[in-house]
Amino acid sequence: MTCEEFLRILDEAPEAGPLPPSLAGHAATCAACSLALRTEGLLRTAHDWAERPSLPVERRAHVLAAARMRGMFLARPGQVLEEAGVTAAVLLAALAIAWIVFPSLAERVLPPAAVEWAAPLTDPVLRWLQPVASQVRAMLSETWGAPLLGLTAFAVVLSAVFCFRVLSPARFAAR
Amino acid sequence: MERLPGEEGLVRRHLSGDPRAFDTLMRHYEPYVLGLLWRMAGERSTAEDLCQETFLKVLKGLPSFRGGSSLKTWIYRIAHNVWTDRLRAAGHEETGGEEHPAFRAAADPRTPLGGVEDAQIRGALEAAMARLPRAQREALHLFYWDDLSVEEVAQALSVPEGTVKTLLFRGRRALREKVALQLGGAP
Repeated sequence: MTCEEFLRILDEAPEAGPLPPSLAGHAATCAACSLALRTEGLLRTAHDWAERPSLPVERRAHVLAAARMRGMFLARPGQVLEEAGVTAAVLLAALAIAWIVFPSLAERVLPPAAVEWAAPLTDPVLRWLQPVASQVRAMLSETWGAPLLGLTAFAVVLSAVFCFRVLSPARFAAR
Repeated sequence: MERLPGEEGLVRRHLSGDPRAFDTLMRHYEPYVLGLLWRMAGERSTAEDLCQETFLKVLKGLPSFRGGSSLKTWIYRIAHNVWTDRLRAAGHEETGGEEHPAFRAAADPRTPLGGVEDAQIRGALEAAMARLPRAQREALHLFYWDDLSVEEVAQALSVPEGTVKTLLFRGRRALREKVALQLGGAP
């Protein structure tokens, strides 16, 4: 076998798999062809000896943080919104019940001495709530006041719940 | 490259909001993607930028991934497109890499041919890869370094299988010639 024949067989060999055994005989007698054969052999095993680099931790963390956010905001927005909506509705209902029931309940259930004792603590809060309460009562007396007030309150509570659920560190940690 | 076992399940878990699933996917594919981009870009820091960008695009594209090709070739195609876009944005064809680890292990060209070690040939092979035309380099890397089939390389590069075979044929020959020149054993 000549060097030309050797190189032609090497060229025509399939790109993967074992090389024709006939090449080894000539390679043993010719240094240049031996190098060509070893080069081809090493190329075919490159997967075994290749170096595998890794991304620095901070770059991987950047991508994984994006994955967390995307997973929560985009991959299942329906579920997250639904959960937040139910929570907001329950919270609003509890607030409304407390608003309606608590003042009269407190008067009926609590002994007058306890009310008098708590007055220094509750009066500042009640004074602070007074303007809000009067504005709420005024809004409720308007034609679309009650539905608008309800929707606004729901939107505010929903946003708060949504932000808390999605962004809270405890939620990240749990995942 | 080995296919990641259970990757369909991981994709489903990611799409249902489990970030650990993407972590697993990324840890498996990242070394291969970074290796390819390092090979193509020639600089580690550029390759890291491109790799990060690739996985952000993978993340963005996973909800619309329909499994027409394997996840592996789909990720490689994104990496290929990210690199191509970067070249286009830079407005020039790439130059060969000079910082790939291959160059640190490059062989001494004056070594007598009879005593050439495998490590020297590997170093010369890696150095020669950096001097190949981009298309040949990419096809050879995917086929030999990352162990993709011809069909998978074709999918990753969005070219016909015949083109891949031609690139491999010419690339192998060019590599042998360059290694021989570097190690003093020109045919």
